[in-house]
Amino acid sequence: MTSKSKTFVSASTLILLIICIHFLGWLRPIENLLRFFVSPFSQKVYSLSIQIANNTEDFASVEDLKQAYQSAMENLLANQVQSVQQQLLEEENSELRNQLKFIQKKQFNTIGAEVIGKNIDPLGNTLIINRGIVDGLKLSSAVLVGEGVIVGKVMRLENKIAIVRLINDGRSKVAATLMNREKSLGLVEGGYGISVQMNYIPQNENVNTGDLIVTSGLEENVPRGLLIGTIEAVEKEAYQPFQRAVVKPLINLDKIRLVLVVVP
Amino acid sequence: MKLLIRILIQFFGLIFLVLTNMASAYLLPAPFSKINLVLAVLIVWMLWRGSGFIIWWMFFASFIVELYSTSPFGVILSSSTLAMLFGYWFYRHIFTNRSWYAAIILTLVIICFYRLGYTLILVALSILGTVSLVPWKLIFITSIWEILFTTSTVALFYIILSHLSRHLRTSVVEAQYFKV
Repeated sequence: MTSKSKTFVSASTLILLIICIHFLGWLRPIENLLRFFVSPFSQKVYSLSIQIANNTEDFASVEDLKQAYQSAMENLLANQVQSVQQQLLEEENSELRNQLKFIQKKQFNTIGAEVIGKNIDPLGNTLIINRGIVDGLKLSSAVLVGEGVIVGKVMRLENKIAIVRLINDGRSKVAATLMNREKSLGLVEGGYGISVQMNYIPQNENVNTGDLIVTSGLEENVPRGLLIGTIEAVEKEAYQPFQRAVVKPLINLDKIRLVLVVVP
Repeated sequence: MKLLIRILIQFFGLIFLVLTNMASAYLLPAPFSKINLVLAVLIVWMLWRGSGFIIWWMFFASFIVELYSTSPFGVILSSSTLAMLFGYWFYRHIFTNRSWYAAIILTLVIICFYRLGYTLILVALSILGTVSLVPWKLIFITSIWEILFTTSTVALFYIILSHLSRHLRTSVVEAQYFKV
């Protein structure tokens, strides 16, 4: 055996050994020590990146800025109207519930978590949160923002941290329902880390821009009715059995600071 | 005592390197955030010092990166360490002249080996049903950005260091080669 082959074999053996020891859990003290050094720094730099992102917004031209301002004003007005309507409906609903002696039951429990970092591996779009196995988190649990908007799922669990795969990650898949007349089912998938798409929507069903998309509840640990986004564009080819749509997430996935994780 | 201090310096130096890589991924806008600073610094270090110890540094740096990755443990660790090992052999036997273009080609080769190894392991694991496969287009696009920015960084570091140190000057290597 040549010296090159010997080096290759010994390096490969060491790597395999380390992988085995990791899965046996014997490396945990070393891993925790390294996380002890790395995680606080990660949290600080992540907060800084959010601050920078919050202070800047790119506009291609003055017209774009004007358009964005007008659109924001229109949205504000619409939201104010909706808010009043919602308040009235809430009051009415509360009254009806009381009349029916309806026992209000929360559908799922959540636990709050702080985002301490994001992906280092360029092939993924992930978040690192400061909750883990000890806090009762489970794999594939939905991760929410503001109690009702899903941003991803827990894909890796450690004792005190968890790694969340965002909905725009290339490997992300979330079972979803469109809030159209047919309540179309489909699969929301990440599009190369820069976009989100809804695939496998039956060809004969009506999909319109602006339609809301929510989780279908067909997955374990992902409750039904969590908001995902709205339809931005529809791609329909006559010869395809399914149509697909480009989805606009309801929140900016690069500016997440606090999340809620669904726990059993 | 000297050995202990040296080990501690190397340990904290590696953590600092990974933290710098992390900061670049967080703070730089896409696609600049695809830069692999760990690889860039270690390649320049290999050209500067010519030591095979660089492979173990890559091993430990990848080990830290693995702790924050969604891919199954070992995928980044094995692909990056073996890529650096191949890169080191290339440096010792093929790209031996320490020129700027050798540095660039070496970076290109190492990243190609790294992403090839990464993809092959993921394909093997997806056949076994343990992971979902990363879309080919995503791997391709990311690798292109990674190669572009990491290679540019290596070239930049190389130019700066070759002005500051005699180690990276081709003329010095040539002079040593012909010394009798």
